[in-house]
Amino acid sequence: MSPLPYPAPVACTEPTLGAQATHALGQALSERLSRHVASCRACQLQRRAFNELDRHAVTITPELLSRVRDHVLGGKTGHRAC
Amino acid sequence: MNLANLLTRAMMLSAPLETTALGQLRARVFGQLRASGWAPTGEERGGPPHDAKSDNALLRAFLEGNAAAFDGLFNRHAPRLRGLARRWLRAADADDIVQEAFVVLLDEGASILEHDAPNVGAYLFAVARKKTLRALAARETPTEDPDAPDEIQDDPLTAALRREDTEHLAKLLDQECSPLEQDVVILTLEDNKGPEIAAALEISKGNVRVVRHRAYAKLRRALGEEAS
Repeated sequence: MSPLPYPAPVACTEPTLGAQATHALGQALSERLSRHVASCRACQLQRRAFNELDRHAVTITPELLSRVRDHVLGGKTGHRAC
Repeated sequence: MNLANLLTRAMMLSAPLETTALGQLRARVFGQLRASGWAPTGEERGGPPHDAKSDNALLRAFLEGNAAAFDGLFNRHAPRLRGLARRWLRAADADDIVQEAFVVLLDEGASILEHDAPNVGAYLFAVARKKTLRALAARETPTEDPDAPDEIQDDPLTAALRREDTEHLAKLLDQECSPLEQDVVILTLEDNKGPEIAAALEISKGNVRVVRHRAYAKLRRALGEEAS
């Protein structure tokens, strides 16, 4: 099996554990990962930023999505919309 | 009526600007994925909504060319990814980040599914965050700040930061600093020297000083406001 494809934060002190911490974003941490995140500011910051993603979310109206979908289904994909 | 006119009309109907921009982005990412070799099966599109399907099921279908699965993944994750990038980047650059994240997902999706408990949301987030950092690093110009100290190891703020509990520091960094500033501060606190930080972040040593100085000014102000 290939190495975990999840990127660790650049400033992570232990990138292998950092990749595992990225994999576990939004989920409960194992004891080992908890210890790492508690001591690694980069992983702690990443986890905090992930947990607060909804604060910055942008909503999409169903009407607009429907129009765009209809346009794409019309065979005009592969080009920039505007 | 072409798409541009439809979108303009949608804006006139008081659709929020960011919403309209996201609709355009969605079509653009779809086109970019096709240009990257993805061959969608159009007949699947416009079918029942995929809200109830898991990310893993959507990713598997997306990799097999199911266009509706792309819709599902995009609708679920793009708003948050774009919101994340938009905190620090212009709208056009934030669009690039989201687009690149989905192209990387197309490339690496099989590898993600190969491992136990795939976490598509975390993967997209981490890729988008890393690319946001790179975009910030690329746009930094090597301007010298006359107020920036040559050595910051004895800076009183550094000592103060070292005493902070990590959770409080993470909160301050997240609220006040961009991802590039965050990484410069963290690498500094981990006792990395300027050249090492510059190499890790692929920016010049002068930029490290400027970014660090700017981040410290933000943190100093935030700490001062907390104290008062």
